Amino acid sequence: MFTRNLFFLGFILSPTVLADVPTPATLLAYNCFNCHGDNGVSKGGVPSIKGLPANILELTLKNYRDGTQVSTVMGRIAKGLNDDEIKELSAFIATLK
Amino acid sequence: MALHRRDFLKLSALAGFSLSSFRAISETTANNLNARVVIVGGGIGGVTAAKYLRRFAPNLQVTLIEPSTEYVTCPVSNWVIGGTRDIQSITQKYDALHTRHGVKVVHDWVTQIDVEAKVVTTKSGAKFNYDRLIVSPGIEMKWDSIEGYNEAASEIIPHAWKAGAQTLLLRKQLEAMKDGGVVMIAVPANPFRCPPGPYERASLIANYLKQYKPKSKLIILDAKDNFSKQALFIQGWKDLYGYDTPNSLIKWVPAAEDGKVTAVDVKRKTLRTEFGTHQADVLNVIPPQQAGLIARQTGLSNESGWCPVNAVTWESKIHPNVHVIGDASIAGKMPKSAFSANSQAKVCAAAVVSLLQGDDPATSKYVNTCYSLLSPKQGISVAMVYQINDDGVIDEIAGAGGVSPATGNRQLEAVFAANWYDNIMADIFA
Repeated sequence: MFTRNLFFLGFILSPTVLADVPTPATLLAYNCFNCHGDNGVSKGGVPSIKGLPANILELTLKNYRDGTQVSTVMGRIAKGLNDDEIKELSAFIATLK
Repeated sequence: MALHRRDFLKLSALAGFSLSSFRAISETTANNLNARVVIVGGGIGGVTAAKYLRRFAPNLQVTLIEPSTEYVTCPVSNWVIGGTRDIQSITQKYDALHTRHGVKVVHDWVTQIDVEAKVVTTKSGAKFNYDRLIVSPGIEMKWDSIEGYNEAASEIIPHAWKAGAQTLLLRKQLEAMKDGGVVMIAVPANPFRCPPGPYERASLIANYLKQYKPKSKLIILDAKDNFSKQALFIQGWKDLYGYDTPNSLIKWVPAAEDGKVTAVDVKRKTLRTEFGTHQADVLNVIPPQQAGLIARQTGLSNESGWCPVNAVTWESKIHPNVHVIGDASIAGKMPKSAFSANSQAKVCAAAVVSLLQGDDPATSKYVNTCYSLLSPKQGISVAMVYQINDDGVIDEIAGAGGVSPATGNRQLEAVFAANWYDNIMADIFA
Protein backbone atom coordinates (compact mmCIF):
# COMPACT_ATOMS: atom_id res chain seq x y z
CA MET A 1 0.00 0.00 0.00
CA PHE A 2 2.76 2.40 0.94
CA THR A 3 4.63 1.59 -2.30
CA ARG A 4 1.48 2.20 -4.27
CA ASN A 5 0.98 5.55 -2.59
CA LEU A 6 4.55 6.53 -3.22
CA PHE A 7 4.08 5.58 -6.85
CA PHE A 8 1.00 7.74 -7.03
CA LEU A 9 2.79 10.66 -5.41
CA GLY A 10 5.53 10.32 -7.98
CA PHE A 11 2.88 10.36 -10.67
CA ILE A 12 1.38 13.57 -9.29
CA LEU A 13 4.72 15.26 -8.92
CA SER A 14 5.92 14.33 -12.41
CA PRO A 15 3.39 15.40 -15.01
CA THR A 16 6.20 15.27 -17.57
CA VAL A 17 6.04 11.46 -17.60
CA LEU A 18 2.87 11.85 -19.62
CA ALA A 19 4.63 13.50 -22.52
CA ASP A 20 7.96 12.92 -24.17
CA VAL A 21 8.99 16.46 -25.07
CA PRO A 22 12.04 16.25 -27.33
CA THR A 23 15.22 18.19 -26.64
CA PRO A 24 16.33 20.74 -29.26
CA ALA A 25 18.86 18.27 -30.71
CA THR A 26 16.16 15.59 -30.95
CA LEU A 27 13.88 18.07 -32.70
CA LEU A 28 16.69 18.65 -35.18
CA ALA A 29 16.82 14.88 -35.72
CA TYR A 30 13.13 14.88 -36.68
CA ASN A 31 14.10 17.12 -39.62
CA CYS A 32 16.27 14.25 -40.92
CA PHE A 33 13.09 12.29 -41.70
CA ASN A 34 12.10 14.84 -44.35
CA CYS A 35 14.76 13.48 -46.71
CA HIS A 36 15.60 10.15 -45.05
CA GLY A 37 12.00 9.00 -44.64
CA ASP A 38 9.31 8.43 -42.04
CA ASN A 39 11.08 7.51 -38.79
CA GLY A 40 14.33 7.27 -40.77
CA VAL A 41 13.17 4.65 -43.30
CA SER A 42 13.69 5.92 -46.85
CA LYS A 43 11.60 4.91 -49.85
CA GLY A 44 14.35 5.38 -52.42
CA GLY A 45 17.80 6.66 -53.29
CA VAL A 46 18.45 8.66 -50.11
CA PRO A 47 19.75 6.15 -47.53
CA SER A 48 17.71 5.01 -44.52
CA ILE A 49 19.19 6.06 -41.18
CA LYS A 50 16.92 4.38 -38.63
CA GLY A 51 18.89 2.54 -35.95
CA LEU A 52 22.33 3.13 -37.46
CA PRO A 53 25.06 2.98 -34.81
CA ALA A 54 25.53 6.35 -33.11
CA ASN A 55 29.30 6.41 -33.61
CA ILE A 56 28.95 5.79 -37.36
CA LEU A 57 26.33 8.56 -37.71
CA GLU A 58 28.46 10.97 -35.69
CA LEU A 59 31.60 10.28 -37.70
CA THR A 60 29.77 10.46 -41.03
CA LEU A 61 28.10 13.79 -40.18
CA LYS A 62 31.43 15.26 -39.08
CA ASN A 63 33.08 14.01 -42.29
CA TYR A 64 30.31 15.63 -44.34
CA ARG A 65 30.69 18.81 -42.33
CA ASP A 66 34.43 19.20 -42.94
CA GLY A 67 34.20 17.94 -46.54
CA THR A 68 36.24 14.75 -45.94
CA GLN A 69 33.25 12.89 -47.34
CA VAL A 70 31.58 14.25 -50.50
CA SER A 71 27.81 14.81 -50.52
CA THR A 72 25.16 16.61 -52.55
CA VAL A 73 23.32 18.37 -49.73
CA MET A 74 24.27 16.76 -46.39
CA GLY A 75 27.52 18.70 -46.00
CA ARG A 76 25.67 22.01 -46.37
CA ILE A 77 23.28 21.02 -43.59
CA ALA A 78 25.95 19.49 -41.32
CA LYS A 79 27.78 22.84 -41.38
CA GLY A 80 24.87 24.23 -39.33
CA LEU A 81 25.30 21.67 -36.53
CA ASN A 82 27.76 21.78 -33.63
CA ASP A 83 29.53 18.78 -32.08
CA ASP A 84 27.06 18.42 -29.21
CA GLU A 85 24.07 18.49 -31.54
CA ILE A 86 25.65 15.90 -33.83
CA LYS A 87 26.39 13.64 -30.86
CA GLU A 88 22.92 13.89 -29.38
CA LEU A 89 20.94 13.57 -32.60
CA SER A 90 23.10 10.61 -33.66
CA ALA A 91 22.39 8.90 -30.33
CA PHE A 92 18.66 9.52 -30.83
CA ILE A 93 18.59 8.15 -34.39
CA ALA A 94 20.46 5.05 -33.17
CA THR A 95 17.60 4.33 -30.74
CA LEU A 96 14.86 4.45 -33.40
CA LYS A 97 13.03 1.15 -33.78
CA MET B 1 -6.41 3.11 -8.01
CA ALA B 2 -8.01 5.63 -5.71
CA LEU B 3 -6.10 7.90 -3.42
CA HIS B 4 -7.97 8.17 -0.14
CA ARG B 5 -8.02 11.49 1.64
CA ARG B 6 -6.41 9.96 4.72
CA ASP B 7 -3.58 8.49 2.66
CA PHE B 8 -3.20 11.73 0.85
CA LEU B 9 -2.92 13.75 4.05
CA LYS B 10 -0.36 11.27 5.33
CA LEU B 11 1.60 11.56 2.12
CA SER B 12 1.35 15.30 1.88
CA ALA B 13 2.66 15.57 5.41
CA LEU B 14 5.48 13.29 4.36
CA ALA B 15 6.22 15.43 1.33
CA GLY B 16 5.60 18.71 3.17
CA PHE B 17 2.69 19.57 0.92
CA SER B 18 -0.45 21.58 1.54
CA LEU B 19 -3.83 20.76 0.08
CA SER B 20 -3.71 23.80 -2.18
CA SER B 21 -0.41 22.78 -3.72
CA PHE B 22 -1.88 19.34 -4.36
CA ARG B 23 -4.74 21.01 -6.18
CA ALA B 24 -2.39 23.09 -8.30
CA ILE B 25 -0.39 20.07 -9.33
CA SER B 26 -3.37 17.86 -9.99
CA GLU B 27 -4.90 20.56 -12.17
CA THR B 28 -1.73 20.74 -14.22
CA THR B 29 -1.78 16.96 -14.50
CA ALA B 30 -5.43 16.88 -15.50
CA ASN B 31 -4.83 19.65 -17.97
CA ASN B 32 -1.97 17.75 -19.49
CA LEU B 33 -3.98 14.54 -19.66
CA ASN B 34 -7.05 16.01 -21.25
CA ALA B 35 -5.80 19.17 -22.95
CA ARG B 36 -7.41 19.95 -26.27
CA VAL B 37 -5.40 21.20 -29.19
CA VAL B 38 -7.29 22.25 -32.30
CA ILE B 39 -5.49 22.68 -35.62
CA VAL B 40 -7.01 24.77 -38.40
CA GLY B 41 -5.73 23.75 -41.84
CA GLY B 42 -4.73 20.35 -43.19
CA GLY B 43 -1.70 21.34 -45.25
CA ILE B 44 1.96 20.56 -44.61
CA GLY B 45 2.18 22.57 -41.37
CA GLY B 46 -1.13 21.47 -39.84
CA VAL B 47 -0.78 17.77 -40.55
CA THR B 48 2.83 17.64 -39.36
CA ALA B 49 1.85 19.42 -36.13
CA ALA B 50 -1.07 17.02 -35.54
CA LYS B 51 1.04 13.89 -36.04
CA TYR B 52 3.91 15.10 -33.89
CA LEU B 53 1.70 16.42 -31.09
CA ARG B 54 0.37 12.91 -30.65
CA ARG B 55 3.87 11.48 -30.89
CA PHE B 56 5.14 13.77 -28.14
CA ALA B 57 2.02 13.56 -25.95
CA PRO B 58 -0.17 10.54 -26.72
CA ASN B 59 -2.83 11.69 -24.24
CA LEU B 60 -3.53 14.99 -25.97
CA GLN B 61 -6.87 15.42 -27.68
CA VAL B 62 -5.91 16.68 -31.13
CA THR B 63 -8.53 17.79 -33.65
CA LEU B 64 -7.62 18.88 -37.17
CA ILE B 65 -10.19 20.85 -39.17
CA GLU B 66 -9.80 20.97 -42.95
CA PRO B 67 -12.51 21.32 -45.61
CA SER B 68 -10.94 19.05 -48.25
CA THR B 69 -10.99 15.27 -47.91
CA GLU B 70 -7.66 14.98 -49.73
CA TYR B 71 -4.71 17.27 -50.17
CA VAL B 72 -3.03 18.02 -53.49
CA THR B 73 0.48 19.18 -52.65
CA CYS B 74 2.13 22.26 -54.09
CA PRO B 75 5.50 20.48 -54.01
CA VAL B 76 5.93 18.57 -57.28
CA SER B 77 2.82 20.20 -58.83
CA ASN B 78 5.16 21.86 -61.36
CA TRP B 79 6.05 18.36 -62.52
CA VAL B 80 2.36 17.77 -63.29
CA ILE B 81 2.27 21.04 -65.24
CA GLY B 82 5.39 19.87 -67.13
CA GLY B 83 3.64 16.60 -67.95
CA THR B 84 5.92 14.13 -66.16
CA ARG B 85 3.67 13.27 -63.19
CA ASP B 86 -0.08 12.83 -62.81
CA ILE B 87 -2.14 14.64 -60.19
CA GLN B 88 -2.98 11.41 -58.36
CA SER B 89 0.70 10.94 -57.53
CA ILE B 90 0.71 14.24 -55.60
CA THR B 91 -2.62 13.70 -53.81
CA GLN B 92 -2.31 12.85 -50.12
CA LYS B 93 -4.94 11.40 -47.80
CA TYR B 94 -5.75 12.04 -44.14
CA ASP B 95 -6.49 8.39 -43.23
CA ALA B 96 -3.26 7.64 -41.31
CA LEU B 97 -3.62 10.79 -39.24
CA HIS B 98 -6.77 9.28 -37.77
CA THR B 99 -6.12 5.53 -37.87
CA ARG B 100 -2.40 5.51 -36.95
CA HIS B 101 -2.03 8.66 -34.89
CA GLY B 102 -5.41 9.09 -33.22
CA VAL B 103 -6.07 12.61 -34.49
CA LYS B 104 -9.73 13.55 -34.90
CA VAL B 105 -10.06 14.82 -38.47
CA VAL B 106 -13.07 17.02 -39.20
CA HIS B 107 -13.84 18.02 -42.79
CA ASP B 108 -15.46 21.40 -42.40
CA TRP B 109 -14.73 25.08 -43.03
CA VAL B 110 -13.74 27.20 -40.04
CA THR B 111 -15.86 30.36 -40.10
CA GLN B 112 -14.88 31.92 -36.79
CA ILE B 113 -12.25 31.77 -34.08
CA ASP B 114 -13.20 33.34 -30.76
CA VAL B 115 -9.81 33.98 -29.17
CA GLU B 116 -11.35 35.17 -25.89
CA ALA B 117 -13.65 32.18 -25.33
CA LYS B 118 -11.15 29.85 -27.06
CA VAL B 119 -13.78 28.37 -29.39
CA VAL B 120 -13.58 27.52 -33.08
CA THR B 121 -16.85 27.51 -35.05
CA THR B 122 -17.32 25.79 -38.42
CA LYS B 123 -19.70 26.31 -41.34
CA SER B 124 -21.88 23.40 -40.21
CA GLY B 125 -22.32 25.13 -36.83
CA ALA B 126 -20.06 22.76 -34.86
CA LYS B 127 -18.02 24.29 -32.03
CA PHE B 128 -14.62 23.15 -30.79
CA ASN B 129 -13.10 24.33 -27.51
CA TYR B 130 -9.35 24.47 -27.29
CA ASP B 131 -6.62 25.02 -24.74
CA ARG B 132 -4.15 25.79 -27.52
CA LEU B 133 -4.91 26.48 -31.17
CA ILE B 134 -2.57 26.02 -34.13
CA VAL B 135 -3.51 27.93 -37.27
CA SER B 136 -1.84 26.76 -40.48
CA PRO B 137 -3.99 28.23 -43.25
CA GLY B 138 -1.36 28.70 -45.97
CA ILE B 139 -1.79 31.54 -48.42
CA GLU B 140 -4.56 33.48 -50.11
CA MET B 141 -4.13 35.44 -53.32
CA LYS B 142 -4.26 39.22 -53.02
CA TRP B 143 -6.99 39.56 -55.62
CA ASP B 144 -7.02 42.79 -57.64
CA SER B 145 -3.53 43.78 -56.47
CA ILE B 146 -2.88 43.19 -60.17
CA GLU B 147 -5.68 45.12 -61.86
CA GLY B 148 -8.27 42.79 -63.38
CA TYR B 149 -6.92 39.65 -61.75
CA ASN B 150 -9.51 38.25 -59.34
CA GLU B 151 -10.87 34.83 -58.49
CA ALA B 152 -13.15 34.74 -61.55
CA ALA B 153 -10.22 35.68 -63.81
CA SER B 154 -8.18 32.84 -62.33
CA GLU B 155 -10.71 30.36 -63.74
CA ILE B 156 -9.58 31.46 -67.20
CA ILE B 157 -6.00 32.53 -66.52
CA PRO B 158 -4.75 30.16 -63.82
CA HIS B 159 -2.35 31.05 -61.03
CA ALA B 160 -1.75 27.34 -60.32
CA TRP B 161 -0.17 28.47 -57.03
CA LYS B 162 -2.53 26.29 -55.01
CA ALA B 163 -2.37 22.78 -56.38
CA GLY B 164 -5.39 20.87 -57.71
CA ALA B 165 -7.89 22.14 -60.29
CA GLN B 166 -5.65 25.15 -61.04
CA THR B 167 -2.69 22.85 -61.79
CA LEU B 168 -4.78 20.80 -64.23
CA LEU B 169 -6.19 23.93 -65.90
CA LEU B 170 -2.72 25.24 -66.72
CA ARG B 171 -1.62 21.79 -67.93
CA LYS B 172 -4.67 21.53 -70.20
CA GLN B 173 -3.98 24.96 -71.73
CA LEU B 174 -0.36 24.02 -72.44
CA GLU B 175 -1.48 20.80 -74.12
CA ALA B 176 -4.02 22.68 -76.25
CA MET B 177 -1.55 25.37 -77.34
CA LYS B 178 -0.29 25.28 -80.94
CA ASP B 179 3.39 24.83 -81.73
CA GLY B 180 4.84 28.31 -82.06
CA GLY B 181 2.70 29.71 -79.23
CA VAL B 182 3.85 31.99 -76.43
CA VAL B 183 3.57 31.05 -72.76
CA MET B 184 3.87 33.90 -70.26
CA ILE B 185 4.39 33.63 -66.50
CA ALA B 186 3.94 36.66 -64.23
CA VAL B 187 5.95 36.38 -60.99
CA PRO B 188 5.38 38.52 -57.87
CA ALA B 189 7.83 40.34 -55.61
CA ASN B 190 8.96 38.74 -52.32
CA PRO B 191 7.68 37.34 -50.04
CA PHE B 192 5.57 34.63 -51.64
CA ARG B 193 5.08 30.86 -51.41
CA CYS B 194 7.92 28.73 -52.81
CA PRO B 195 10.52 31.29 -54.02
CA PRO B 196 12.21 28.98 -56.59
CA GLY B 197 8.84 27.62 -57.78
CA PRO B 198 8.19 29.96 -60.74
CA TYR B 199 11.62 29.21 -62.20
CA GLU B 200 11.25 25.45 -61.80
CA ARG B 201 7.87 25.82 -63.50
CA ALA B 202 9.48 27.75 -66.36
CA SER B 203 12.13 25.04 -66.68
CA LEU B 204 9.65 22.16 -66.85
CA ILE B 205 7.31 23.97 -69.25
CA ALA B 206 10.36 24.72 -71.46
CA ASN B 207 11.27 21.02 -71.29
CA TYR B 208 7.76 20.15 -72.52
CA LEU B 209 7.86 22.77 -75.30
CA LYS B 210 11.32 21.63 -76.41
CA GLN B 211 10.01 18.09 -76.91
CA TYR B 212 6.53 18.69 -78.29
CA LYS B 213 6.24 22.34 -79.47
CA PRO B 214 9.80 23.43 -80.26
CA LYS B 215 8.82 26.62 -82.12
CA SER B 216 7.20 28.02 -78.97
CA LYS B 217 8.59 30.52 -76.44
CA LEU B 218 8.24 31.06 -72.72
CA ILE B 219 8.53 34.55 -71.24
CA ILE B 220 8.83 35.26 -67.51
CA LEU B 221 7.69 38.75 -66.49
CA ASP B 222 9.17 39.28 -63.03
CA ALA B 223 8.44 41.92 -60.37
CA LYS B 224 11.98 41.29 -59.02
CA ASP B 225 15.52 41.82 -60.29
CA ASN B 226 16.91 38.60 -58.85
CA PHE B 227 15.55 35.28 -57.67
CA SER B 228 16.21 32.07 -55.73
CA LYS B 229 18.98 29.79 -57.11
CA GLN B 230 19.31 32.31 -59.97
CA ALA B 231 22.83 31.40 -61.13
CA LEU B 232 21.97 27.69 -61.19
CA PHE B 233 18.72 28.23 -63.09
CA ILE B 234 20.39 30.52 -65.66
CA GLN B 235 23.20 28.00 -66.20
CA GLY B 236 20.64 25.20 -66.55
CA TRP B 237 18.63 27.23 -69.07
CA LYS B 238 21.81 27.88 -71.08
CA ASP B 239 22.69 24.19 -71.08
CA LEU B 240 19.19 22.92 -71.86
CA TYR B 241 17.08 25.63 -73.50
CA GLY B 242 19.48 27.90 -75.42
CA TYR B 243 19.13 30.75 -72.94
CA ASP B 244 20.81 34.01 -74.06
CA THR B 245 20.86 32.87 -77.71
CA PRO B 246 18.50 34.11 -80.46
CA ASN B 247 16.72 30.73 -80.33
CA SER B 248 16.27 30.67 -76.57
CA LEU B 249 13.10 28.92 -75.40
CA ILE B 250 13.09 31.02 -72.21
CA LYS B 251 13.22 34.78 -71.80
CA TRP B 252 13.38 36.31 -68.31
CA VAL B 253 12.36 39.98 -67.97
CA PRO B 254 13.35 41.48 -64.58
CA ALA B 255 11.59 44.45 -62.94
CA ALA B 256 14.37 46.78 -64.12
CA GLU B 257 13.44 45.92 -67.72
CA ASP B 258 9.72 46.50 -67.24
CA GLY B 259 8.94 42.99 -65.98
CA LYS B 260 6.43 43.95 -63.30
CA VAL B 261 2.89 43.08 -64.36
CA THR B 262 0.35 45.70 -63.28
CA ALA B 263 -2.84 44.59 -65.07
CA VAL B 264 -4.46 41.60 -66.75
CA ASP B 265 -6.95 41.74 -69.63
CA VAL B 266 -8.74 38.41 -69.49
CA LYS B 267 -10.67 38.85 -72.77
CA ARG B 268 -7.68 39.93 -74.83
CA LYS B 269 -5.30 37.54 -73.04
CA THR B 270 -2.78 40.29 -72.42
CA LEU B 271 -0.63 41.40 -69.53
CA ARG B 272 0.21 45.04 -68.98
CA THR B 273 3.43 46.35 -67.50
CA GLU B 274 4.32 50.01 -66.92
CA PHE B 275 5.54 50.59 -70.46
CA GLY B 276 4.00 47.80 -72.53
CA THR B 277 1.27 45.30 -73.32
CA HIS B 278 2.20 41.65 -73.80
CA GLN B 279 0.17 39.09 -75.75
CA ALA B 280 0.37 35.36 -75.06
CA ASP B 281 -1.39 32.11 -75.94
CA VAL B 282 -1.14 30.67 -72.42
CA LEU B 283 -0.98 32.99 -69.43
CA ASN B 284 -0.03 32.04 -65.88
CA VAL B 285 -0.36 34.86 -63.37
CA ILE B 286 1.13 34.22 -59.94
CA PRO B 287 -0.26 37.16 -57.96
CA PRO B 288 1.02 38.70 -54.70
CA GLN B 289 -0.10 36.72 -51.65
CA GLN B 290 -1.03 37.05 -47.99
CA ALA B 291 -1.87 34.80 -45.03
CA GLY B 292 -4.92 32.55 -45.42
CA LEU B 293 -8.35 34.12 -44.88
CA ILE B 294 -9.08 32.73 -41.41
CA ALA B 295 -5.80 34.13 -40.05
CA ARG B 296 -6.63 37.60 -41.33
CA GLN B 297 -10.28 37.38 -40.21
CA THR B 298 -9.10 36.48 -36.72
CA GLY B 299 -6.75 39.45 -36.64
CA LEU B 300 -3.63 37.30 -36.52
CA SER B 301 -1.95 39.18 -39.39
CA ASN B 302 -0.41 42.65 -39.34
CA GLU B 303 -0.20 45.35 -42.02
CA SER B 304 2.14 43.15 -44.06
CA GLY B 305 -0.66 40.61 -44.56
CA TRP B 306 1.36 37.92 -42.70
CA CYS B 307 1.26 36.76 -39.06
CA PRO B 308 3.90 37.86 -36.52
CA VAL B 309 4.87 35.03 -34.13
CA ASN B 310 7.28 34.18 -31.35
CA ALA B 311 10.10 32.28 -33.11
CA VAL B 312 10.52 29.82 -30.20
CA THR B 313 6.89 28.76 -29.73
CA TRP B 314 5.11 30.07 -32.89
CA GLU B 315 2.57 31.67 -30.56
CA SER B 316 0.96 34.69 -32.15
CA LYS B 317 2.34 38.05 -31.04
CA ILE B 318 -1.23 39.36 -31.29
CA HIS B 319 -3.43 36.66 -29.68
CA PRO B 320 -2.19 34.39 -26.84
CA ASN B 321 -2.81 30.61 -26.95
CA VAL B 322 -2.96 30.77 -30.75
CA HIS B 323 0.05 29.54 -32.76
CA VAL B 324 0.58 30.27 -36.46
CA ILE B 325 2.91 28.14 -38.59
CA GLY B 326 3.82 27.65 -42.24
CA ASP B 327 3.45 30.06 -45.13
CA ALA B 328 1.07 32.36 -43.20
CA SER B 329 3.68 33.18 -40.54
CA ILE B 330 6.49 35.72 -40.53
CA ALA B 331 9.43 33.37 -40.06
CA GLY B 332 12.49 35.60 -40.42
CA LYS B 333 14.88 34.22 -43.02
CA MET B 334 12.98 30.95 -43.54
CA PRO B 335 11.36 30.73 -46.97
CA LYS B 336 7.69 29.82 -47.40
CA SER B 337 8.32 26.17 -48.25
CA ALA B 338 6.98 22.73 -47.34
CA PHE B 339 10.20 21.83 -45.54
CA SER B 340 10.07 25.07 -43.53
CA ALA B 341 6.43 24.47 -42.53
CA ASN B 342 7.29 20.92 -41.48
CA SER B 343 10.34 22.04 -39.47
CA GLN B 344 8.30 24.79 -37.77
CA ALA B 345 5.40 22.41 -37.03
CA LYS B 346 7.64 19.97 -35.13
CA VAL B 347 9.09 22.74 -32.95
CA CYS B 348 5.63 24.25 -32.45
CA ALA B 349 4.20 20.85 -31.43
CA ALA B 350 6.95 20.41 -28.82
CA ALA B 351 6.42 23.98 -27.55
CA VAL B 352 2.66 23.48 -27.23
CA VAL B 353 3.18 20.33 -25.14
CA SER B 354 5.72 22.14 -22.93
CA LEU B 355 3.37 25.09 -22.43
CA LEU B 356 0.44 22.81 -21.56
CA GLN B 357 2.63 21.18 -18.93
CA GLY B 358 3.66 24.53 -17.54
CA ASP B 359 7.27 24.11 -18.71
CA ASP B 360 9.44 26.61 -20.56
CA PRO B 361 9.69 25.67 -24.25
CA ALA B 362 13.25 25.02 -25.42
CA THR B 363 14.83 27.07 -28.22
CA SER B 364 15.51 24.95 -31.31
CA LYS B 365 17.18 25.29 -34.66
CA TYR B 366 15.30 24.94 -37.94
CA VAL B 367 16.17 23.37 -41.28
CA ASN B 368 15.08 23.92 -44.85
CA THR B 369 15.91 22.09 -48.08
CA CYS B 370 14.25 22.86 -51.42
CA TYR B 371 14.85 20.86 -54.58
CA SER B 372 13.99 22.20 -58.04
CA LEU B 373 14.16 20.47 -61.40
CA LEU B 374 15.83 22.08 -64.43
CA SER B 375 14.51 19.14 -66.46
CA PRO B 376 13.06 15.77 -65.39
CA LYS B 377 16.61 14.43 -65.12
CA GLN B 378 18.47 17.43 -63.70
CA GLY B 379 17.98 18.78 -60.20
CA ILE B 380 19.39 21.57 -58.01
CA SER B 381 18.86 22.40 -54.36
CA VAL B 382 19.15 25.08 -51.70
CA ALA B 383 19.55 24.23 -48.02
CA MET B 384 19.96 26.14 -44.76
CA VAL B 385 20.06 25.65 -41.01
CA TYR B 386 18.57 28.48 -38.95
CA GLN B 387 18.90 29.74 -35.39
CA ILE B 388 17.14 32.44 -33.44
CA ASN B 389 19.30 35.55 -33.10
CA ASP B 390 19.54 37.96 -30.15
CA ASP B 391 16.58 39.95 -31.48
CA GLY B 392 14.38 36.84 -31.42
CA VAL B 393 14.38 36.62 -35.22
CA ILE B 394 15.09 33.44 -37.22
CA ASP B 395 18.42 33.92 -38.97
CA GLU B 396 20.71 31.86 -41.18
CA ILE B 397 23.72 30.20 -39.54
CA ALA B 398 26.85 31.70 -41.08
CA GLY B 399 28.83 29.15 -43.09
CA ALA B 400 25.96 26.68 -43.29
CA GLY B 401 23.66 25.85 -46.20
CA GLY B 402 23.74 27.37 -49.66
CA VAL B 403 22.95 26.17 -53.17
CA SER B 404 24.26 23.16 -55.13
CA PRO B 405 27.81 23.73 -56.38
CA ALA B 406 28.16 24.88 -60.02
CA THR B 407 29.72 21.51 -60.80
CA GLY B 408 27.23 19.52 -58.68
CA ASN B 409 25.70 16.20 -59.65
CA ARG B 410 22.46 17.32 -61.32
CA GLN B 411 21.32 13.77 -62.16
CA LEU B 412 21.68 12.59 -58.57
CA GLU B 413 19.86 15.67 -57.24
CA ALA B 414 16.95 14.93 -59.62
CA VAL B 415 16.73 11.43 -58.13
CA PHE B 416 16.94 12.89 -54.62
CA ALA B 417 14.24 15.46 -55.45
CA ALA B 418 11.75 12.69 -56.27
CA ASN B 419 12.87 10.73 -53.24
CA TRP B 420 12.58 13.81 -51.02
CA TYR B 421 8.95 14.16 -52.07
CA ASP B 422 8.08 10.55 -51.19
CA ASN B 423 9.95 10.73 -47.90
CA ILE B 424 8.67 14.06 -46.58
CA MET B 425 5.10 13.14 -47.53
CA ALA B 426 5.50 9.90 -45.57
CA ASP B 427 6.84 11.90 -42.61
CA ILE B 428 3.69 14.03 -42.77
CA PHE B 429 0.83 11.86 -44.05
CA ALA B 430 1.85 8.25 -43.20
